[in-house]
Amino acid sequence: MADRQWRGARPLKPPGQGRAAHKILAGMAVLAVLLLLSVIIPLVAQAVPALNAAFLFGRAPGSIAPEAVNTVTMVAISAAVSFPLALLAGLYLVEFARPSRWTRAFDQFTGTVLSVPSIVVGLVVVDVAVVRWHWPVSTLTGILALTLMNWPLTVALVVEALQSVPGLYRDGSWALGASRWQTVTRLILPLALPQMIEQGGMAVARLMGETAVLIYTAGVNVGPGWALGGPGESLAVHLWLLRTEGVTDLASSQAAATGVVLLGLVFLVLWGSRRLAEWLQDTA
Amino acid sequence: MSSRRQFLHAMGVAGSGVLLGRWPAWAGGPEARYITIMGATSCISYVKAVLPEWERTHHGVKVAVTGGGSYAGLHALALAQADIAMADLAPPGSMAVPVRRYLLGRLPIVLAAWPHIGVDRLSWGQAGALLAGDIVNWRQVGGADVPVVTVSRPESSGAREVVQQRVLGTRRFSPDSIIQLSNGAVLRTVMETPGAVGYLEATAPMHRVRILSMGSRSFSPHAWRLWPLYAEPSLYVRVQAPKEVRNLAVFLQGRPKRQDFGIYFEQRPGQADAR
Amino acid sequence: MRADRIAALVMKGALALFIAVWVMVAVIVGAGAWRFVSANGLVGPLVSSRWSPLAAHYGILAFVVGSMAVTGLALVLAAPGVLALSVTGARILRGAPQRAFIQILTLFVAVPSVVYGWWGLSVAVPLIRRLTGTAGFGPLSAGIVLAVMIVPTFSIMALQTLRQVPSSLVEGSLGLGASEDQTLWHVILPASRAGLSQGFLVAVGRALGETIAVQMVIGGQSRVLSLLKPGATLTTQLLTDLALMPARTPGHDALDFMALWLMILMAVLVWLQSRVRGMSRG
Repeated sequence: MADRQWRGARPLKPPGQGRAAHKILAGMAVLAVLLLLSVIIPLVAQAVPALNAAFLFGRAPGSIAPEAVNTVTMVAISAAVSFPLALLAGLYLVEFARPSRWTRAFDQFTGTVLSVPSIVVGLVVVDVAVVRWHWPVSTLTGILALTLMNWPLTVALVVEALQSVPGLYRDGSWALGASRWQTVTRLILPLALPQMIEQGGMAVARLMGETAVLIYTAGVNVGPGWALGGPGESLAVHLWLLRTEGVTDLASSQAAATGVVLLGLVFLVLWGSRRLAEWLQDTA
Repeated sequence: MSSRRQFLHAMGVAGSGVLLGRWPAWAGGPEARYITIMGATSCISYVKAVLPEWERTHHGVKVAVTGGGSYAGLHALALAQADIAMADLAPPGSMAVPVRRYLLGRLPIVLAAWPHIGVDRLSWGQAGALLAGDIVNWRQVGGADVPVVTVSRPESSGAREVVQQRVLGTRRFSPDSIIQLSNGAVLRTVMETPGAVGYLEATAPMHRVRILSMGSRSFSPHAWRLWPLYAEPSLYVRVQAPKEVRNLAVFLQGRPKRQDFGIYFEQRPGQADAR
Repeated sequence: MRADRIAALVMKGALALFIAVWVMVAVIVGAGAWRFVSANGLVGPLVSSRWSPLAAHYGILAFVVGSMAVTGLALVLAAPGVLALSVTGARILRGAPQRAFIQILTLFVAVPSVVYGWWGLSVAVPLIRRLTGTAGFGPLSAGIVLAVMIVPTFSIMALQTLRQVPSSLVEGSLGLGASEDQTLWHVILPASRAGLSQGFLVAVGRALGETIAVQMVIGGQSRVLSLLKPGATLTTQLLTDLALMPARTPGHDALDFMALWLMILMAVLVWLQSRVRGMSRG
């Protein structure tokens, strides 16, 4: 009652008026969220009949264990290769290079290569690795393609994380006599690391869902065991293949189950990287 | 060291990497002798199924199988990117490299349609008119009142070439066709899309679509000789290919198992009991 | 200091390698495109829609138009959703629900595009089929799928921008007697123009570069603009023909030409973004 009186006392804006558009937008937002959920919920519902231990972990054909192993290993190796390379490049750009025409041109350059469509990367990797180098369509070729895709994204996120550390910290450190290297390793990196890890999780999640670049580089089948030289179908490619050409009775639910496993891995990576980032922030 | 010098060095590293890259020995796999088989997707399942048997007797030889279609396989063969090409088509006249052909047999191609169109049989003329987009409703050929949706493959497909020559003749495929990248994708689309019709290589189980009779003939795996629409999948090998490659081609040509994958062949006396 | 010099050298090397590798990528694509242009001319392929690489017809008009149409359609369809989600997230929800809302949107950003393609085949295509009586495969379905796909990305960026509008502006507007709605339309949205444009351009980039989700529902024909009949975009045609025309065949150069166009379009988008950033600062 008191609340109502208080709101009524506000001049010129009687309660319930002047927020009509907000209410309409909120209603639309509910619809939009429902639409987005309609992407995931039917997927999970269809997946239920196929989600069993034999499908997830079995060794028989039809199990997606090899695809899951391929996905995780290819993504992990690509991330492990591209992250240090990108970290070094990003550190140089933010902490060592003097801002100039060139560093600004570089921003434009990174932005452009960052947005190169994955199918173009696939085209180039097929041209160079498969055709010119005679690499077979294999896990290693897939790793090469994923690394190339992930590199600019990682450079961009490293630069962004480093730039979010206030310049005053650096000035203070230098004034105390620390070298640039000491400043970077002891002060800047620990401060920027949580953000890098959180954004890095996003990058890894994107790699896991990458399809177009892998179809012609890592292939659409799996070998008898994991090998760098063996075929390396990933979960996302498997989902694409099952959904577009799987014709058995099981194919729909298997495609959905593959999608659920893929989503599970993606969300796990996001959650894990966020928790790790929070933990680092708390301990720092 | 100046930035420009360092950048030029990096360009040198990247450039020579592109020019000189090799499969790294530590990655295992193709450090041994390896053979690449490439081409028609219709042969892949068969080749993959019998390959382990050959690999058991040829230690150290790794065989990679990839698709891409007949045309791509033949091109890769000419450019020495592949050792064996699988193809439903004859090599184009422009191919300068002398090749040897190993015929695998006959791969029947059937017209398949969405199950509820109410039609079982088409004349050749009707089939052509359907695929060309001249017949737009199944009512026009005596079926249900459902619009026709044609499903086709990209130009480099050997099956498309056969259908073009034998069924369509001088007409072109309907520009409204849905293009799917593989035989399986065509089957799936025909199964799911009301009124759809497409052509299939008769390799996969096809029980969820309606296989149409053509003229007076109905397709049956047992009477494959009578079915008039087929491709002739073959393996092509360069004449100067190493002995192992030719040996593999002969092996692949000789396995009766290909009948399980839709590739039918005359069993000559004596060949039937070759396992 | 010695450590500084060595560190700088190593880092400079890493940076130079990064630039060199990507310049190399551009050179490889550019060389193929150059061979294509010198054999077929620059204008001819751009004004023809006859794509029949085996017969040496390389008209890419249909793909360029298709890419733009699908992207434009996706943005138009996504706009109301983005407005609703970002305003709800920034101006209506507060505290814990707001944080949860943002986290849910972030999860949707990370959903792989092939899952959106799966949704397209299972929901969008049959829906369009029922509504229009066509096969359902075509740019309209592709636009719907892309719209759903870019809504989370675009909304998050818009939401962050709306939150950053200085509260002095908002309080001032409300204090002068403007209603919440008036404040939203006349103060908050105009003040976030630069950030919204930024999000818009990122969404354009994501839609333009998407391959797999579009390929699953667009149908794959070289046709200039019919929303309901099968079409193709630059990226889906690259996927279709990549394996069919291996390197060193004449058709392959056409693929490089298409790839170069995609890279040029992306570079223009990035340049526009940097202009927008400059606008917001100055």
